Amino acid sequence: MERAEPDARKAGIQSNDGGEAATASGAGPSRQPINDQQRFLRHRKTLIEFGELVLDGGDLETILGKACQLIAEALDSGPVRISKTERQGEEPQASSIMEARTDREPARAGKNLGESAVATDRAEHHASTAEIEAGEPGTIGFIRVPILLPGRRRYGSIEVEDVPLAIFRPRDMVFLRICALILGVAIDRLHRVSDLAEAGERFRVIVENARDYAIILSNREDIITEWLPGAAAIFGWQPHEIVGQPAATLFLPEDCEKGLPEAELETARREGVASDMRWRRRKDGGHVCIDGRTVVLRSSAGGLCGYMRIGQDITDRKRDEEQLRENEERYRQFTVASTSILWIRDARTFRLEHANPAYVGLYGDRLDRFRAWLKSIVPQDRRGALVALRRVCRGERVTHQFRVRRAYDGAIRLIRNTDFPLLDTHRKVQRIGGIGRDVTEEAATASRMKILVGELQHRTRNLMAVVEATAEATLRSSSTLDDFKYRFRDRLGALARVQGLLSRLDDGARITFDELIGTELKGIGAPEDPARVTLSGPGRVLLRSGSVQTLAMALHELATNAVKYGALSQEQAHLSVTWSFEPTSADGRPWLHICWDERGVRMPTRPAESPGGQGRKLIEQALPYQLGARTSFQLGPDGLHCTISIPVSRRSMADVSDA
Amino acid sequence: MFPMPERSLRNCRVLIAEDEFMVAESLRHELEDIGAIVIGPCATLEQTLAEIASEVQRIDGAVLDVNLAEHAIYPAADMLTARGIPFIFTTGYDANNLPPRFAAIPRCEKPISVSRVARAVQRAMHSEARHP
Repeated sequence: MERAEPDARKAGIQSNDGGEAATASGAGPSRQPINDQQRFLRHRKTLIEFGELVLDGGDLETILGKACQLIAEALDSGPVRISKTERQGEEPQASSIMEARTDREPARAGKNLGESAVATDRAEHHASTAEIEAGEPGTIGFIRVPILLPGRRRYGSIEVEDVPLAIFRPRDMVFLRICALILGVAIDRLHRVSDLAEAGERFRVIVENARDYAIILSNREDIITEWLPGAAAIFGWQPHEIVGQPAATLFLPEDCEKGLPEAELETARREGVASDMRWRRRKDGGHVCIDGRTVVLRSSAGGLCGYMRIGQDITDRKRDEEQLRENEERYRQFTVASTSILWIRDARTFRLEHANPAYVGLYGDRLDRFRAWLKSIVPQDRRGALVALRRVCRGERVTHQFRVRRAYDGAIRLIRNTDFPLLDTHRKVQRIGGIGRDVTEEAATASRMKILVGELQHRTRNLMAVVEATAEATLRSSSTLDDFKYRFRDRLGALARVQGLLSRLDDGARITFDELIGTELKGIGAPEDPARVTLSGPGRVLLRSGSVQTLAMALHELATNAVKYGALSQEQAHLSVTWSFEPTSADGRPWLHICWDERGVRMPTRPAESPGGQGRKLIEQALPYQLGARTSFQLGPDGLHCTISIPVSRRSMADVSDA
Repeated sequence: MFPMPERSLRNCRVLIAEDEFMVAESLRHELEDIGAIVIGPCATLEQTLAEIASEVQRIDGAVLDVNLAEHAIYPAADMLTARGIPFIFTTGYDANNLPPRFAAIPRCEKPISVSRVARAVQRAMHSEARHP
């Protein structure tokens, strides 16, 4: 294959004349021989059509297809192709992008297009040259004219086959080159348009799909000019509602008061961009947290054009964070305020990960040391505490008790711990947690309650036995049922009064003698007149609780007898009860000495009515028997004289000694 | 009148340990009513032990209040057991609180029914008689 200069031609081209060429081509039956003038006119008409075509616009494909058509018609040639040279790697490749044929049959098959194209591009300096290649000499040829873009960049080429060389003239070559020039410019313009359109489309797609981002443009006065779909999705306003409003609309009212909108613009103007993260106002009045930037827009000359805001809606993230912080704060407050001992340890190392103030109060602040914790437990309980922890590490929930020497005062406290495993996602014990409670008082109360309940039961059963025995005794000494009824009811009343006194007692408290005698005399309705009754003796002589009931019943019998036959039955008579306290008697115990003295009583003449009976028996037998008392019971000429000495509570001593 | 089974306590010597005078008296009366000869009553553990240890009087059986003036009666019970003398407990406490060695000893919870106590004493004495 040979190359040719643009105007060069193979032998035989110049010699060909128009008329002859038409006949010489002998291509097809449809070909009409035309002369040079006609060809010229046809070329000119084609060029005009070509210009119109380009002016009409349309896409590249349409223009190139039409161009091939026009060229083929103008040159009366075989197929016309427009091929594009694509640079892939180092080797330029040619590919046909457009082809058109005239309606006539090709005279014969052209050369292999690919091969010739590669051949013509072998050297760069030939890239812009046209070439004519003869087929069968004197008949037809193949013409290739390069298409150059502005800047002489090669786009591709126009390739014409089956050119009837017999009638081909230099001006035909000029025609083809003009076509190539026009195409080059047209292609370039179309390229630019399509590049722009593509970029614009790309931008539009990105912006419209970026719903999580609000993109807002505003002018120099910061009035909103563009409101993209992301902004509408985040803030709620549609473009027609917000465009034209100041961008400060998006700030919370309190932020506006603080002048934040102006400050933001100022930062943007000074720095080029202002970043912030803050709550903004939505159309519905709600708040939305925006992490955003305000970018200042300047013209190429540097003048301020406006602002662009790009922001991301991070409300959910922000709310999650705030929720998390709130949860943590709530938990912190809870653990700080809790009097329970709360802690979390690593299950493998036993390292303390969390401990509340109650924990520190009990175990001290050596929080990093597991051994310090263990040592604060009393030695006998350490093994049990360790065993419990190991069980928790194996996944059990364990409640156990142990005693601890409290850090701040050294007091021994009983702690009840409920320890439980905290599992990781693989259900392995990752941590162990515990809730401990100081149950020292609770345990003491519980054991006291147990004793009290036992005591109460004991006391009640004994009381029932006493009631039964009293009934028996009363029955034995009663002459009639009415007599029994009266005396039994009377004794039950006295028992009830004593029970009332006893039930008032707090644990460990004692009844004093003055209380007991006062209650009994009042209970039987003794006069409070000092001329009739005098009571004298120290207060606060504490009676042993075991002796109260028996003593009370004895006093009751004395008082009942006094009401029936003695000092309280006669106006002129007088009852005096005196008592004294002996802190240390011969046996080392404190004693109470009681003296019951009736004076001025006209004694009954009939022995049947003489006082005594149950009262006398109680004084003379029951008190010595039950209380170890020393007693005397004497009926004098003007009344009863009775003494009772009983041991009393040792706790009386300090109290009474200063009385 | 039908012959009462308690009558078989006639001339039996029964020790009473009961710190509540009224209850002790009542028990004494009831036992005497059915023919028993009452030893005591004793209000304290000391007295009870002394009464058993002295062996001045033969003791055929005993009624022991488990708690005498805030002392447990168990030493006296052990002493009776050692001598092979049958006895029963009376108690104001829950019967479950007794030491296991007394599990076989009959007990009457207060308030006691004297006839029940008498029957129990009689039964205890008779079963001892069969297994001396």
